[in-house]
Amino acid sequence: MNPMTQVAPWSHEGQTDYYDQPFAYLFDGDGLTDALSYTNLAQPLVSGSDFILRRIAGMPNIATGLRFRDRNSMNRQSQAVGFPHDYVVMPEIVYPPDAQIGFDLETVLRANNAYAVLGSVPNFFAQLAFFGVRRFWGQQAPRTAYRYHSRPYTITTDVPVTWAGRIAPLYQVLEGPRQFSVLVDTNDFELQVIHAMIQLEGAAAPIPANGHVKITLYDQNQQALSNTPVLDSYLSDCNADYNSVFPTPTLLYKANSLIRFDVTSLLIDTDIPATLTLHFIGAWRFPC
Amino acid sequence: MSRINPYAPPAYNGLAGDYPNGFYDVSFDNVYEVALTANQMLRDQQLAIDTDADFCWRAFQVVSNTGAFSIRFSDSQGYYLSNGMLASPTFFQGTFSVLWPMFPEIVIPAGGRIGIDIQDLSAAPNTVQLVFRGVKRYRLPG
Repeated sequence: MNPMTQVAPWSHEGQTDYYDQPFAYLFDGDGLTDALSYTNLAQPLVSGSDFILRRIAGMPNIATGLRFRDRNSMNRQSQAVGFPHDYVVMPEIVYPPDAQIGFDLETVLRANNAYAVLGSVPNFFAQLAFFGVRRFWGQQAPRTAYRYHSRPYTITTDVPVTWAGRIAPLYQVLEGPRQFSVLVDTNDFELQVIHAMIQLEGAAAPIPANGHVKITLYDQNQQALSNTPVLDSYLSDCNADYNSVFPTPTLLYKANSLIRFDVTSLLIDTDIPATLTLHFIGAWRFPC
Repeated sequence: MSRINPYAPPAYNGLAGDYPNGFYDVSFDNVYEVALTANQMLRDQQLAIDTDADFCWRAFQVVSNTGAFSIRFSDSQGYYLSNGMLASPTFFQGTFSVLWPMFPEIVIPAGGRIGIDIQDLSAAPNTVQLVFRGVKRYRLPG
């Protein structure tokens, strides 16, 4: 549904009196009931920053219709309506600190991966994602402290996902996330895109991750870039259903910092062990 | 400070409103639903625009349909946007409905209407839901 072309590959680090941190607020609808409609739901926003909403993803994973509201509780749709996988918000909407994004859901239908085990509970991934930036007034973003030139580079890492979304043998209790990290050595690294591929047990080749894991990404200061783990397809650029580009704006990891991420499995028992391959695509900043 | 992501569409990087002095734009989607009988042709249907602000219509999208149909639009002054009916596959890429841009935008005054002629082509009952995307343009006081 994206009507826009890609912009020219350039970046800037102009001096401003704020810092925009890429961020996603996720509403988890796992506890909702299928076939019901809900009005006046809300995703609360945290204090300390404005939130600027630019993209809504994932309505097809949670319901058949959506209507959301702005900071003044004004509806932005004349009625609940089916959204595409990605909905771009133009013009962007500013929510002040401690505000909430109000919305209605029409006919809930929670996406899930179900086990073939009697009495088990499916791994739900009924997430509605509000992407944008947290704007911190009076702060500056991390900057590279030396003269540099940028060269494209991709940091790849393989993550063994050996656990299912729920604990065996009954598959009723949720497993927790597990923490991983990659060292950014030598130079500063500007992260632009994440690719997530996964090779499931018995599969001949990896496939784009799509409802297989959730990921929490952290910045170089170990601040999470979402309020809860984000579904892979909302983050990963190599996905057929979503036009996902995260982080936007790009994110700087200074030399000797960590790209930390937590992985939450959505796999079922027959999918494991699996190998999640993450490509952190961006650019090195070489001193010059 | 922010770094433009060259991989991302402009809207992900942030698009502020581009509106005349004395006005303020907020995004808004008008929804139109109709249930057609087999081969039914409906002329001069009207999607009423709210009375609180002008609506700048910038794009159109088929949200759902149970069969093929054809359609023609007009603005609030009866200006038709095509000389004939447009078949619904025009608005799809494969099975994906795509956003059909209206460029330049069409300004429908507050309390105005979008005119719609629509015909079922499926020879069966056909429920169609359309969304008209754009902005409400509010006049600022003073």
